[in-house]
Amino acid sequence: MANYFLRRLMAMIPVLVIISIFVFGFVHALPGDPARIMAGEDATLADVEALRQRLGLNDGLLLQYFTFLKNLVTFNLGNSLRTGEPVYDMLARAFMPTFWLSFCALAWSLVAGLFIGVFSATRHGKAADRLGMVVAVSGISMPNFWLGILLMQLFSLKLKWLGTSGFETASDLILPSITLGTTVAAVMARFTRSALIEVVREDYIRTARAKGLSARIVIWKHALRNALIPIVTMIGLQFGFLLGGSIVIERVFRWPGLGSVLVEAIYVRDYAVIQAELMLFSFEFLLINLVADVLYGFINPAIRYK
Amino acid sequence: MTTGGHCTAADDGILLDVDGLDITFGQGATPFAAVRGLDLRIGRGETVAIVGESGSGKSVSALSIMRLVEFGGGRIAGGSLRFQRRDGTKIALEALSEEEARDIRGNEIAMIFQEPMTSLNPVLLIGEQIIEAIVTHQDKSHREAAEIAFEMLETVRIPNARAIMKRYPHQLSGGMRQRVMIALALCCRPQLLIADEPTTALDVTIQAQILRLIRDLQKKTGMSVLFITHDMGVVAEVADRVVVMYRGEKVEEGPVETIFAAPQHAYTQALLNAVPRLGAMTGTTAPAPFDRLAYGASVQEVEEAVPPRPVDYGTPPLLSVRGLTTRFDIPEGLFGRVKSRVHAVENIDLDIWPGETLAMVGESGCGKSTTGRSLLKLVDAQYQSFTFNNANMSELAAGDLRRLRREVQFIFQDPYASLNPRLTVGFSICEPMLIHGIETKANAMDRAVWLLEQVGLSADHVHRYPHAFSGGQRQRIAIARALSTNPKLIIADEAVSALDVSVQAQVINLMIDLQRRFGISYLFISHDMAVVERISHRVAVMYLGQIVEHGPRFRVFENPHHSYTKRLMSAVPIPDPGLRDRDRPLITGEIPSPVRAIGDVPPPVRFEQVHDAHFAACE
Repeated sequence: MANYFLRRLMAMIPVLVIISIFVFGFVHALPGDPARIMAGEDATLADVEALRQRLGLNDGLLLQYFTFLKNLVTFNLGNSLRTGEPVYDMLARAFMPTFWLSFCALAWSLVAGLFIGVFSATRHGKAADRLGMVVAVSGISMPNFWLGILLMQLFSLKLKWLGTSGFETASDLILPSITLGTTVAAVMARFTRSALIEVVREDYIRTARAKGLSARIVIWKHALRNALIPIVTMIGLQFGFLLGGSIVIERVFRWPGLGSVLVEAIYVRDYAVIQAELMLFSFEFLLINLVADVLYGFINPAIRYK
Repeated sequence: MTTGGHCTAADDGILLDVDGLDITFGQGATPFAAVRGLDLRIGRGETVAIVGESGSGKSVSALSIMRLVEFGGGRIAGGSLRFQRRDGTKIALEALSEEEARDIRGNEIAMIFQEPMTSLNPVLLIGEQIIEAIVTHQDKSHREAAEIAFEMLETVRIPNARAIMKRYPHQLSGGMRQRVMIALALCCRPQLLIADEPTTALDVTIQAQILRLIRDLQKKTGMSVLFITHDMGVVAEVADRVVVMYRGEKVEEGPVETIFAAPQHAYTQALLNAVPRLGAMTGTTAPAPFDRLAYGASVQEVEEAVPPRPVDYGTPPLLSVRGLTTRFDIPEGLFGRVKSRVHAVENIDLDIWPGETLAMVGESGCGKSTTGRSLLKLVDAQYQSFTFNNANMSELAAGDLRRLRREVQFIFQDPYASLNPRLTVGFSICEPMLIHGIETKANAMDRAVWLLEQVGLSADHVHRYPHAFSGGQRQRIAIARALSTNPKLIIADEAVSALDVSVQAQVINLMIDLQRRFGISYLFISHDMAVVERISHRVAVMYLGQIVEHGPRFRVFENPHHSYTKRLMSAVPIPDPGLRDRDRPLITGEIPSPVRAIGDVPPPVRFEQVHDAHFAACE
């Protein structure tokens, strides 16, 4: 098990290197000159040139890439091109708000999705099943920033129960995490439903019924544990979706998280911040999927890892 | 009768009385009537067998006794099922609510199913799966239930039962899983055990063990058994009374001796003729088709009788391989170092002559399938020499491999999995011709039609998809596909093992017929000695990757020399109820593992000559 984990962690290294090439290439392919933007409208050409020299933007691309790579390895993420603040500090400050937002969104959406999925699957083909799936499809189809605006209008502006923006108290988490999790919950519900409908046809479910077990035990103990196997893989992939969604949602709710930092950085072509943050997102995604794979092995004894 | 249908009656010795049972599937104006007017009576301690082919309604009848048929979309549309409970009250099973039915299920009536590989929940421990059944029906603590589960596993002769309880199903073999299923079914001491094809998916050797086990347990507990099967050989081993079903109706019923001695209905007679009987071929040297199988057959029998072609052993063999060895590495640890290997095929020699059937027999895992795959280089194999059709294949240049794969074709075990469901039958048959550039597209379709007719199907089947065909028909299609490249050799890997006995006999007849007409050779890989006796000229018995006995079929069968060959033969059920209690040396326990540490190569087999061409390994 520990062996397996180590092996998988080691296997991440080449993947991260490949990602770093893409990230670097992508950032440098962005139109616009960071020095030009930073120096301001009135700067002379000489000022801009001096700034370029100071930021290392005149070095060869290859040299810049290897500097970036070296910095990554030593966790020295460099300084923001704009403010000069260490990138590490900026990300560390923004990390927790985003973590809480993603965590709450994922938690409620998984639980809700699972229950709706089981509810629908056990009423397969009946009206209740169709109703559940109409709700789920609406959840998938609705753009989440729009849902966010609607919720804000109702609960913050009209009813004045909750704040509109920022992250000061725990209750500030409610609206953004509902908004962010809706799509995941809906996908989860659909996926759970189809996985469960599939599993219920299996021979071992017939065996479970032949034992005289109650319908509740047959579904929650025998069927769901098997249905979870594909679901867990899906959750890992959904996490990527959540990362992407959080960038938009953080803008809508003025959330002081990684998404807001990223968007700011893209406005001013702050290469150091963009690169560091994209690498962080990629690493998180890989890590979550590794956890999902380990969980997968935990649920499915046929592939216990050595 | 009240709801739930309780009423008391004097004990008449009848445990279950099924009267006029109708089962339908589907809704609307034309529901499908799967069972019509079935009468069935099971006495205390009695074993009743329901016999019939796939789709005859026998499994559905069993599921309706369990009240499980509803979960599969079926419905008890008429008739009554009266069951006597332990306390003597009679209840009407068809009138029970779902909750009342749960109280009977697994408690007073228990069931074991055909597929041991898929009938246990893969994510739950073996022990837990038995314990929960006990806790559901009996007033026991988890600890007490665990003790009962352990005793049950011991009763079904699972070695090391305590350790097995902490294992998952995938860690056990098919035979072991079926034992677990039996332990599970018996843990609440049911009055009636329904066994639905419990041995069909198992090797013949394991089948013999399981049948004996069920019989012993029945003697011990006095329960009644309803045995569902398509195999008259199995019926002869277990049943007191037999009910023959055909297309949803009972066509014959009687004591087992009468059914076997004087079957009345033509269908029963056809079923009996289809059972391969070990020893039926004594005194002959060539394969021979089964007689009189046709009953409502869904395929046309190819009627023109072609005389057998004698095999000329004076000519050089079609295929000859020396020292064939296939080993699979087992990687371990952080860097995947290889510390041990599976010795799947270990240093075997094979010769197959033109127009001959060589049978490879052995149990699951003995390496016989790997042998077939090794010959086509579908797995990485080594050999000292390899000639095919007078050409040296040892170097195996790219062109050679292509030619080999054209002239040697495969038929696999599972007719459901070996045809692509998204391709028409015609396309599947054409594809090999097109790949090998044998025919143009236009001609290929004509030839596909001709091939379908050769295997007993009709020309209009060419545009249909596999799902429209039964298992036996699909296997015919697979044979037509194999024939499409005009092969010299067909490797039939358990090609008839998954088929109903009556269908199996038809497919064997077809294969014999095709051999006579086209002079094809077969490498017939099977675990069933009785089938092998029917179809082969020569036999090689395989055990743990090595051949332990080989020779002409009549020599090996009439005078088996190696102890393993003898035990394989004794496992075959004999379709004669008078012989069921014979004492015979069964293969017991599990097949030993072919996994060996690096450097630990099994010693080469030394053969002694039993007769001219008949050799057996020295023991």
